[in-house]
Amino acid sequence: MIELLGVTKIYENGAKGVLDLSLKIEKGEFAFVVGASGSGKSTLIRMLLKELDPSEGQIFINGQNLGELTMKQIPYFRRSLGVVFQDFRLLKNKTVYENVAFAMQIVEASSREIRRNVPAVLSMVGLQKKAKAFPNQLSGGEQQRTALARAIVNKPALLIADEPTGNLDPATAWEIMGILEDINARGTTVVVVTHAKDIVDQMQKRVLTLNNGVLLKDIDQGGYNDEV
Amino acid sequence: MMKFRSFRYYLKEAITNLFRNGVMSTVSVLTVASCIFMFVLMFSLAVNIDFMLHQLSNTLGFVVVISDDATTAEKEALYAQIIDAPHVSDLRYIPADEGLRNFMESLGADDGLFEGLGLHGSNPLPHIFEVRVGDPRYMEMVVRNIVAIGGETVDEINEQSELVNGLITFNRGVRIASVAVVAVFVSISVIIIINTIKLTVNNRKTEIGIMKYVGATDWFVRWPFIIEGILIGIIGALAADIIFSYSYTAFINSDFRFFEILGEFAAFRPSSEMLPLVSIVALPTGVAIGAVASLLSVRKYLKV
Repeated sequence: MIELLGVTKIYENGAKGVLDLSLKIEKGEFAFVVGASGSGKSTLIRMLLKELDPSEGQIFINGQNLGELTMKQIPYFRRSLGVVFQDFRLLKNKTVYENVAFAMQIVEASSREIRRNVPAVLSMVGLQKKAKAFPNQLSGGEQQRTALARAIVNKPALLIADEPTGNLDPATAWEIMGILEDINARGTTVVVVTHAKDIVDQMQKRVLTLNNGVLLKDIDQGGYNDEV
Repeated sequence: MMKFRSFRYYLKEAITNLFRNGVMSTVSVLTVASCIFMFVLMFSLAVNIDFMLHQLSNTLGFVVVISDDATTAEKEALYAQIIDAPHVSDLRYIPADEGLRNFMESLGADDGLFEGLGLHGSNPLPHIFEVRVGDPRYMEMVVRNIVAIGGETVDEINEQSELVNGLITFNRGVRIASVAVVAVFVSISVIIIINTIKLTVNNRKTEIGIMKYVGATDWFVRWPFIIEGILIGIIGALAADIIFSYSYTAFINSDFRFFEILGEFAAFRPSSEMLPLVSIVALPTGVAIGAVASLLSVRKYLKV
């Protein structure tokens, strides 16, 4: 599903993003990427989204070498991913329903498909009763659930969540992790970048620890500070 | 190829944006309207001068005075040469007798006047050709041509082309001024629309970023802004068109003293002909201004 081969990213100002990073995440896996600020997590995510190109090395997602993608192919590649951010990134002027439908409009889905899939996915994240609400009328957890619904409505093979619980209280954070597990159980590969030690410790999933741009640890079922 | 459902989405987005930035949109529409109004004003001036020149070409010609010594055969040969010459639209031979008759009729006089002047039995007028030129711009060329082919048969040529030449020069001036005025006003419109769209784009920078993360193509992001610009252009052009229609019709129907004088030899192009012509020019101009401005303003925000 995801494969990095000797990936290094040095920014133009000389700052180091990641150094000689090689890793593999298989289809259907659930993996946490952890590490302190500046450890290279954000660089990794931005490269997986093809927002940044590595200075060296190769990245493959679904067998596709990202280095070979043309500018025109990038949008189509991104449609195969679901992305969730810490700050939700919802469209403020659109309702919950419209925010989710928007992802389908981009891929030019028919109105019938939109009417069928959006309510289904809203019900999956428990927001069927909030369909007509605007983001500013929602709690943080509800906003993140809307973002999750948007990320999965086009049935991506890979879901990348960047600090999905960073702005949420612990109870809501657990709700979100529950939904992510549910999504993973349905076959979607899930990669979660997080600082939430409690969650990582309790969920006992694969943990990739980055430190100063280097992959420090890769534990199959572990906690935030577990040793290899 | 854009799908209809996508187009419906783009249009809805564009209209929503127009209303959301109501003040800026209104300013843009008013700017486009005033620019296009100035443009069609200059355009109509040029069209009308052209129109008048063509009318003048039907009333103004020049007279070729034939030498008294010319034989009938020479006159016939010259007639044949002039009628075949380029840009000559009409040619009439007016013998001296007919010329005198016309002259007397125009004075309302009878034979008594000539008797009184001691001209009884003689005709001081020469035989002439009355030449009409299809396009007044070629008047001088035709005159030169006739001087060349006429030789001894032609005594002199009485040109009346000062007015025509004056109008031609004026029209050339109007055209040059039109281009300059239009360039200035179109630039102003484009700059103001760019700012309106930039405002929209800036307000929606996050949204554009989200769109790109979700997999929107550049054109999916661009279209609503382009349509918004085009809508501003169309509304501005329509407003200019309506204002121009009322102004032009009122102007044509007004009873300025100037019109009475002008009416002696030329008329303005009627509203029924002028207004469709202006609409044909104004709408595409509005659409082009709007589309170009929005394309320019959205370009740099697409790199996500």
